[in-house]
Amino acid sequence: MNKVRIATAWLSGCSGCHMSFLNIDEALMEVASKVEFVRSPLVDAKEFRPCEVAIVEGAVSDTDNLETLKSLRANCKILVALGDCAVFGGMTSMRNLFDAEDVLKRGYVETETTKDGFVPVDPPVPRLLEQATPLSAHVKVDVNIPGCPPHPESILHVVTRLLEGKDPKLPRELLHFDSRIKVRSDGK
Amino acid sequence: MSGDEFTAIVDGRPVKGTKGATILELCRANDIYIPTLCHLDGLSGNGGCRMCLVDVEGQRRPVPACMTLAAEGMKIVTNSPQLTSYRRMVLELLLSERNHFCFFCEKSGDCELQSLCYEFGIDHPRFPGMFPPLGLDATAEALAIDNNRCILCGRCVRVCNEIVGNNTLDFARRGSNTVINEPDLLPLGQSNCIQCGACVEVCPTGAIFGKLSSYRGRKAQCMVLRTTCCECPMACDLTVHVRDNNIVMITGGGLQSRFGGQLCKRGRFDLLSRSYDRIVAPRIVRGNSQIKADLPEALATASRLLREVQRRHGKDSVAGIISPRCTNEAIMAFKEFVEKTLRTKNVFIIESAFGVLSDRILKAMEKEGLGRFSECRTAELAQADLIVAIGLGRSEPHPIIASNVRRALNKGAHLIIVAGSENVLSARASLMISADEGRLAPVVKTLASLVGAAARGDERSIQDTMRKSSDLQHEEMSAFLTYVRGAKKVVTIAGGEIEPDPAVLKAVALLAAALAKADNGPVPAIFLRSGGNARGALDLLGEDLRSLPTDLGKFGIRAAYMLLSDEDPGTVDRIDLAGLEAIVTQASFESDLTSRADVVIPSRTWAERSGTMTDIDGEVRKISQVLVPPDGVRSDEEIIHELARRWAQGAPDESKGGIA
Repeated sequence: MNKVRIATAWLSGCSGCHMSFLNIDEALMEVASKVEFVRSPLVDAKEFRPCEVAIVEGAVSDTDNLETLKSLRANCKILVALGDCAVFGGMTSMRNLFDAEDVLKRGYVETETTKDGFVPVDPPVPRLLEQATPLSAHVKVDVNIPGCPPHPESILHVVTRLLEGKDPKLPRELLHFDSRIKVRSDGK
Repeated sequence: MSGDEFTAIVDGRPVKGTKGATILELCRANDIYIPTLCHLDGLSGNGGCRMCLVDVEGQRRPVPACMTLAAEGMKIVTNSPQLTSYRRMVLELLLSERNHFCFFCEKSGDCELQSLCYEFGIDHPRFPGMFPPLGLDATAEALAIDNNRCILCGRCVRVCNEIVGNNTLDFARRGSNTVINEPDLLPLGQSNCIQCGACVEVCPTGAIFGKLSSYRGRKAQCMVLRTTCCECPMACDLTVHVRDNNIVMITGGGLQSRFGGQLCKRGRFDLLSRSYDRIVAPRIVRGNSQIKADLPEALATASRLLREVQRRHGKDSVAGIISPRCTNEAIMAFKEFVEKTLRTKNVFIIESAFGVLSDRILKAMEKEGLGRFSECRTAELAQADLIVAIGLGRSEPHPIIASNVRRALNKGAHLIIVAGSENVLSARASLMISADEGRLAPVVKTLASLVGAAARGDERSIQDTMRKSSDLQHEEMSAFLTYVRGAKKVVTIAGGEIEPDPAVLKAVALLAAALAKADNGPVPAIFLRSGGNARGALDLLGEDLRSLPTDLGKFGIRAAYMLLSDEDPGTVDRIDLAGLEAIVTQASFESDLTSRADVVIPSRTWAERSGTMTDIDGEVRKISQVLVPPDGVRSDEEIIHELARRWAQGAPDESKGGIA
């Protein structure tokens, strides 16, 4: 049987969504037997091989993010936005309340612990975009899994449904923003 | 079918409604769901959010169900793919307008906007975010407004105006720049905000939040329990959210409950922030210091010390002192203890002399047939068209009374303030009548005789009185009469700055009775007491009960049994201990007094008690335990019964007649 090729990427995010992916626990074995990870933050591949599914965490905040996203989109059939940053812009986009230039200055120059700081301008360093934006601002997104981070059950639902070739849209009980709240077991 | 009923067709089904009902009310009464966001039962309609749009046959466009009256034969469609797409778009536009990112939002999990997004399956943004740079106003001590999370539903503005009557919050600026703020854009901390937190309770998103409740748990993670606030005699309903035996948040009884379910800063926020050192184990004095003891040991010591003082100085040398925060049940146990065990006449309550004496005077006057004062209901303030406030102190009246007054004033009532200090109501007075030091009684008597003469239509007597009075200006008196003559329902509020003198208090009560304009009916006169269960204590403990004096020694007191409950250490430390040879206290919190006491027994706090209290109107309200008390901390009444039992055991002689 041909394994389904999956690429995952981590743009401007915190890796929490990938951690949550790993938290599907024992289901990981089942998933691993059916898929091949052609790229992930742990599988270092500079070039993209065409794949069926690309799962992307994080917002688009700099030129490198944008290039990665576009190349993923061009090489995958189904693009999944994973987590609040990828879906909505999330925490990363909080900087949009300020000018990008001010944000860089605050980070590289004005930080209390920085002495003689400067904003790096070397050509290889990716340039910060004026705003951090969700994936959908740049490319077509096929499936959204919001959440900060998305609950492992929500991620597993989407992955399982995709592997089964069914509609992966999250049902209401698995749709949540922010982290899912554990309700008291006594129901009080 | 009565003339008030009608039948409308909702989603093809005939449903009955009552005339005057909006489409939303009609549907809710018939279990037909229509999503809402800005609407809240108990507040006026707004029609701002457009979530409740419905189709009505014959209307060219959808109408808001919350603002459209239903009528006979009206054909209403509450749900269709098009309506759903409109409602979805409302949410999608709201999401793009401001910061509605749920992580790090205090309200996430309890947010109505979030919940509606789930309902409509919104899993991604349709429009790009606007990110307007709106500020966070955290200048108020207890609450903060984050306009970035605001959806401009206006619930806070409506509750502040309609329920609290304070008119602090309003919309400022225009269009998408609109923010919730005080009318002249002062930071909340510098505004006239009384920090009652009503806006916090109604906010559907995380735009207005209580600082102390933030990030401490969601409703779904809490036990939600009901009890009664004992901070003042208004005895407001409390809804307490408890997580792991910690109070996360306190809310009121709901907008449609008594007084609109209001709470004040003390009830909503201060009960959370109070952090005094807790007494959790009994202590007894040993030499010059206190040592830990178990309860039987502490009770034995208490019994021995108090008996010793009584043996040497007589029964009445031991005083019983009680806090008006205690439950009626604890008060009854205390009563039995002071009457049957201590057998002392010296019983004191931590309540102002005004509070205790006014109760005595009113009860005596009622017996004499001078007015039915005990039947006054504070709810009558809402119907008043004239409110006369006499001798209110700086921090009076109680906030919920103040907001009832403001609501009456907002509806066109007038307020006359007689004497007293500047307070929250001063700015709203139509007439201020001052009285020189010690001249309140003649001023009040003059006003009463003017009211009496006016009621009789005795113009000559009015002219006479006005000519003779040296305490009042002619203009004051004629203005007073004009307001009184124009009023149908007058309510009097009497406050703690009235001299605790029987003659003055009687004059004030007689003025209230004269103003009431009701022969033999209940007199709407609200005499303010400070202690939460002061009324219960005054009703139960009888006429011997006195206000705690500053100098106990003058009464020949040599020892005291003090049921301090969870009284504030600051209040407790104002008790003068000079001349006391033995002090037995039952208290929740450490204070100078407890550190100097001979016996300290831990007492439960307001949250750990069960029982009842009597509110300002004389109604009995239920207090329920919302927190589990620390190990071994027993109820006040249990401890008192145990103390009485031990006392009886330790005194075989006394039970046979004993020492005199």
